[in-house]
Amino acid sequence: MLFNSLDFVFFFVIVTILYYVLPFKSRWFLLLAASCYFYMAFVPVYILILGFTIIVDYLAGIYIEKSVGKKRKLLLICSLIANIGILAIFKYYNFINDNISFLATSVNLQNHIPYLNILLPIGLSFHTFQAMSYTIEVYRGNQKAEKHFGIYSLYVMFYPQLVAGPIERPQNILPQLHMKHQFSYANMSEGLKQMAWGFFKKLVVADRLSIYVDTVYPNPELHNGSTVVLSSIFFAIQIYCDFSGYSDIAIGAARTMGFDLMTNFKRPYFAKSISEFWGRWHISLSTWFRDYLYIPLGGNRVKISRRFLNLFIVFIISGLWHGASYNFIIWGALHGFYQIIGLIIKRPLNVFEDKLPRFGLMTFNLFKGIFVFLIVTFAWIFFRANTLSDSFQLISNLKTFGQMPFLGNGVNQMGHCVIAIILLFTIEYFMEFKPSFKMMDNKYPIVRYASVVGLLFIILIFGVFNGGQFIYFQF
Amino acid sequence: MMEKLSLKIFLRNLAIFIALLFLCDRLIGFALEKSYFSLKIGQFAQTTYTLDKAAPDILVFGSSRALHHYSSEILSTKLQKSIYNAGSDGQFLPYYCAAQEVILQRKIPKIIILDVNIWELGPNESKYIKLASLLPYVGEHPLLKKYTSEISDFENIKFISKTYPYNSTLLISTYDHLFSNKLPEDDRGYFPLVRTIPKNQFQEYKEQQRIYNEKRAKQNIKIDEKAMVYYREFLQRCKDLKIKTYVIISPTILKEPKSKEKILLEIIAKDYPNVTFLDYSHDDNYNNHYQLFADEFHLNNLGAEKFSKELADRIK
Repeated sequence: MLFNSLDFVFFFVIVTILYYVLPFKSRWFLLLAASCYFYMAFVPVYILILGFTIIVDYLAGIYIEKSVGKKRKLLLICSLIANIGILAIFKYYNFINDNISFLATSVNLQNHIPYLNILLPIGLSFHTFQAMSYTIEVYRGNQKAEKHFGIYSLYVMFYPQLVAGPIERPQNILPQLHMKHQFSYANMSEGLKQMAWGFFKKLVVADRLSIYVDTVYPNPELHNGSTVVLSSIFFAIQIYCDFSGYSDIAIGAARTMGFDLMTNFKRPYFAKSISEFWGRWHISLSTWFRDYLYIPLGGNRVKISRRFLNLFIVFIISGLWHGASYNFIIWGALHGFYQIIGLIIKRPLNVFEDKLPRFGLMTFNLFKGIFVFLIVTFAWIFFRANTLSDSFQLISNLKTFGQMPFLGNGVNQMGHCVIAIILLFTIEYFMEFKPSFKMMDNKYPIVRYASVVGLLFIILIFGVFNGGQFIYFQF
Repeated sequence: MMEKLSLKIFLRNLAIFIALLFLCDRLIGFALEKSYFSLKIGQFAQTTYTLDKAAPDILVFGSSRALHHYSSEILSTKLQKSIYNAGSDGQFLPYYCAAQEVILQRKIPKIIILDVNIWELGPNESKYIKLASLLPYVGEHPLLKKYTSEISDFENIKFISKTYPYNSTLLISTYDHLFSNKLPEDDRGYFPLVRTIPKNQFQEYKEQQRIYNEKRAKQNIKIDEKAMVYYREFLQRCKDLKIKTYVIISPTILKEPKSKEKILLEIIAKDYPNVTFLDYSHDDNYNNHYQLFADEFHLNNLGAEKFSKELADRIK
């Protein structure tokens, strides 16, 4: 079930009303049943995979808590193997097989390993990572094992964040699942407003820009450099609004029932360095990799060369997390490379900035922001292109930058794209630099009502109501 | 106690909010409707004329290629019949079918020209999404509901809103009102393109198209069965009303390869005795004659006049 569908609107209203109507004791069951229904609306049979990982990790959590020493470690490894194993089968099997075939062919051998003709379960990487964080935290002693099977299942399956995050930690969400949430006007109002903002990002910005991007990217040979630049900038904004829009709807929907999910995005395109960008982009995944991969690899407390290697490993794996293809690996590698360069130039840059006058510093910060946006956008080319050869074709097309770009069907398409981008960045500018200037939370009711109604009518007048699914569902 | 009070305040505010939303929807919807239907020129005005008024002897259906390729003046003069070019930018078979059904309720033309793109039967979900351009007309022509329901599952529920049918129209509507004196006037629907594709752009396109065709040849293109149903429906209606029909692939700047979709367009057309299928995509009088084209996909005014004369002679 897509958030941007009427089905979801009906579903959300019914579940939220029932949540408050039902007695506290049966609320977990309602949410679990609703989450199963929500997930099964995509491909019903895949609930079995989810069921398998839930049972494995539920039991692993209990036994890890009871065990000590090597047995404890062994149980954690078994649980991680089960989770990663499922990811490997569904997400990486055919990719690995492809590579085996390539290597076999290069030495005149045949690969007889069969290919799997299966669809990737929606949001597999998200709920697998959430499940893994539970067993790791129990192993580390930071989290008590959850004894209530239903509550544990809900921890993995809670519908707002089931298919595209935020990837929650057990310390944050499990206690909330045990808590009785009373109806609160503030929660309901703030939740609905955040959902409206998410719908704006998805329907007005992401789905509008996707019309142009989806025309250009599948046929890179037909487009010149200017079109590639324009469509790549559009894609950078599209993917941000698509994914952060999803997160806003998810966080808002959970909030209406009193649940506090973690913040996943903090206006990443206002970042002035690549490390700051990653502190603002997909925060729940970045912190997951930091806590469960980067720090165990040694984190910052190792030699600088080792630190660079750790960063590079983390970003390559982050690329692979997104998808089993060389495109995602290159995307991850580019970000790893950017991070390393960022670390190398950090100190000289600080020295240089200290010497700048105030206005000079502001200009330099603006320049840094644009530079970060451009290098991130360049990496997105690999992320969006259908194949590696398409990526290189698009990049080679850049040599014709300067020619008239393809403008779709003219005023209508470009006009809507420009309006959407201006609206987005104007509102985000105020959120970032003038946080006290609040429209939807203004102290005057008339301003509050007018701004919410205004936002809804902007969605109704400028939104795209038949855009496809969210990009991150495929991961 | 606090919970009950909070709920009471919420329900009261929600009721105010819904009332406000309803009122704004009616007001904004009314304003958008007035703005939309008062347009005298431009794309929306042309759609309004097509669906509400057009009743000629010759009707041309198709996408922008129909719009720019069939000179009303030449066809009308040579064939001694009234004509209207109902071509619509970026549209596909489902739209032609809807427009045809609406017009046929009003008038049965003597000749129908259906200009088809070679990718008409290819997989492309946007051809159904683009049916959204019919939403403002559903009130006047309820039969269009069966077409607009293709856009999404709950499309007809969305008509509760009076603003929704005018979704994504405000910008063009405003532009067409503000710059109505600068917009090119159509001649009975026909819009000539008065420009020529530069030679270097044509050469580049040639190279791009070569790579594209090679890539496409390796792909297994899935035929859009639903589009095929619409195609048959369109031709069947012409057959039932004994309308002389021409299904035409109008001239293309480069020779188009014999794709699965293209072959199918011809095979299906041959099932209908009243239909003549004409393929100009392999015509040496047009292929590579970039001087006759405005861009990669459309004939310019010179090309359209040459083609229209040739076609009129063939129809005569």
